[in-house]
Amino acid sequence: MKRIAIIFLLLFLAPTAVGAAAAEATASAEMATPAGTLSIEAVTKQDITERTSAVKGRLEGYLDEKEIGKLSWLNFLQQAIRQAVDKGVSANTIVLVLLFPLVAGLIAAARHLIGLTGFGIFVPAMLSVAFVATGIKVGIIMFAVVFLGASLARKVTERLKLQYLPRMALMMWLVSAAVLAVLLGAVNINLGSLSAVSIFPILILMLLSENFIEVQTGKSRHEAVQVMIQTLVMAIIGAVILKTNWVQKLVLLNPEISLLVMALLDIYVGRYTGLRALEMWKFRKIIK
Amino acid sequence: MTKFSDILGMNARNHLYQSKYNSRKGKRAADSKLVTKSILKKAKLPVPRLHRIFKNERVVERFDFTNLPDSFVIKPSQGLGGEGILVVDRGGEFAGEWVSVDGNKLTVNDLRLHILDILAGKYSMLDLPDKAFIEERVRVHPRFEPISCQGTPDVGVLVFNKIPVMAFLRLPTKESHGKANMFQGAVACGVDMATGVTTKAVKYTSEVKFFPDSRRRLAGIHIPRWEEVLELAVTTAEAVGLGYCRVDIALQPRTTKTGKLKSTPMVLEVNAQPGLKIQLANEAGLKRRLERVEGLPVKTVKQGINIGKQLFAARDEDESIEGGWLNIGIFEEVEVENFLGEKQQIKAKIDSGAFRTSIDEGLARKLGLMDPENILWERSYRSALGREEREVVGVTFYLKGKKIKTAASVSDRSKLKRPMIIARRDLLGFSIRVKEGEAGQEA
Repeated sequence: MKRIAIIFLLLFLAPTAVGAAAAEATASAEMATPAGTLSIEAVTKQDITERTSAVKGRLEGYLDEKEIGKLSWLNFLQQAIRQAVDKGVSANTIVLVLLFPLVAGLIAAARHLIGLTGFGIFVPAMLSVAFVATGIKVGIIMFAVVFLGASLARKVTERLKLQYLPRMALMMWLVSAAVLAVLLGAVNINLGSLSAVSIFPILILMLLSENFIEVQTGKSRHEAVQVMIQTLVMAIIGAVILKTNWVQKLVLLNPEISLLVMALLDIYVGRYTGLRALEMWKFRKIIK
Repeated sequence: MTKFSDILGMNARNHLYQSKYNSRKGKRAADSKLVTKSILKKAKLPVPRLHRIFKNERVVERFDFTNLPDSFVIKPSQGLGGEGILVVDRGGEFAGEWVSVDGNKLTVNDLRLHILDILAGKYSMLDLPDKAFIEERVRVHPRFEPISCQGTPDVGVLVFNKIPVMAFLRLPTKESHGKANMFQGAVACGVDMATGVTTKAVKYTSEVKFFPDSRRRLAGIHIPRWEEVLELAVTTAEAVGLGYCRVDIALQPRTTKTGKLKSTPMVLEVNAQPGLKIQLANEAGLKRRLERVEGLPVKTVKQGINIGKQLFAARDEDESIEGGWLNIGIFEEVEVENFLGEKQQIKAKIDSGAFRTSIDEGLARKLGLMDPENILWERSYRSALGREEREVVGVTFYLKGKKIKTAASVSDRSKLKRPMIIARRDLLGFSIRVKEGEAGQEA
């Protein structure tokens, strides 16, 4: 139920949010380049309104660098992407959409080949997109705030002996209060980037806080900590991949091959019936 | 001995066994304890008695809790990993008050709140609203008393293709808060399939030799009614319709009218996707075992049990290797220990009609068993010759390699071919078969 609700929310927020995420990704990319003096608004505005402008984004630059021949079954996606970008679709959005299955596939592989448990595929994938949108450092700070807020809220509400849903609602109240405090406080302690975070990643984190609380109540402390750490690690790796320049370039310029490879990876992972790496570690003692 | 390819991992379990051999219907039944219960009840298999089901909040408000017995358990129907189970140990000081196993005082309101939590889905698999029920509490079997803490130990038997493949005994500890779940810190003992004797034990993933709260040894514990436990496990798997599952069974001890202890194995729950730590407790690979019995045509429950016992005996004793029973004839050679502990070959006769083992007086003297220190007591026998005084002495002997320490009565058998009779008191675990030639042989 909750998952469906979040997916609906995402459907509403996705266009704006991924746009924002992409914009920020561009922004950070721009920072890294020598010419990175453009502000977020400038980049997006130029992208949307002045398609023919000489100032183009980094990704659009990649597209221009590569010559593609006539339309064939080997480059139909590249043709379509070029056409879409020329008509104003942000290349960032396209890259994110192309990379999302890779992140999902890697999370699946982390589960089935390595044996990291995490919260399934949904939470780490969402977290990594949220981290891309906020930047990893700020993302981790927000994550920590939400997580600590949720844990604290659980402790507080446990004593009140409330029924489940009202108790959850109260926890949400406390988590929201914590996030609000950080947003307002960040202005004063010169952490400007924290208060510039858009609503989308914050909402993701807050909605995920229910999962964080659940894992604390449902499992032993040791396991809860492990699940959290593994999820965080997967999300960070996912975010790094989503942000890496050469990966972005690779999938943007070879979308057909990369999508095929991702699908093959998923199929391989799905068919793999051997032991996971962590299971080998777990059962090492009974190997003779 | 065990290789990585022998071990069953999560991927192989889900892909090769669980999804292939478990029907959707069976899985749904196993997911809900209440459905499992009703299926097993219909099949006339023993389950803990159901006191009350709570389907919605109105029932909770109306229910009169004061009519409940002093000891019971509240469970969610679709709980995960033993969460949400409240075990009430005894009645409190006043009516409408109880004490839980971990010593907390509970009022009617506490019980109501707990049930409402369950109904709201706090402990259910996907946060979905759940049902709650109150059932009879299975008490701790006296044999497990020294090696369990608060909760009730249970035996998990993994059944595949009607064959019991592997089993473990889970013992709740203080650390696991009386829950028999391994990830919460319960101890799990591997079990020899042939005899139902524990082999070794693990806590989390490391081996333990002694029970943490009482320092008792964990190996060598005989699970009572092992044969019945196996039979119940296989019939349960069949009734629920699962080809690959683990059946969790607890032994409910009862005292009969004559004051004897009798226990009934009862099914607590059925798990359609059993965990893999059972392999750690048994120090054996499950995949290898499953591969060995996959596709075997098994016609009856009994046959399945025998296959499991024969193939998966874990101990080195003959008793275990021969599938839980040692076959003997009527005339056997035994090794009797003399007072120095040296073994001597003696010809003996097996007599299941006699109660106590007896030994020839001359032989006993020769072995030094008639030493006053070794005489346990004297008793008068009524025999064909009238009243006789006979000594009862301590004897240790080996029959088919099994060490038997017993009390034997001393009698004059000097005129007989065999100076020793092994009687039924010492024949537990043996199966007597009259061999060819023995039938016509007098002594």
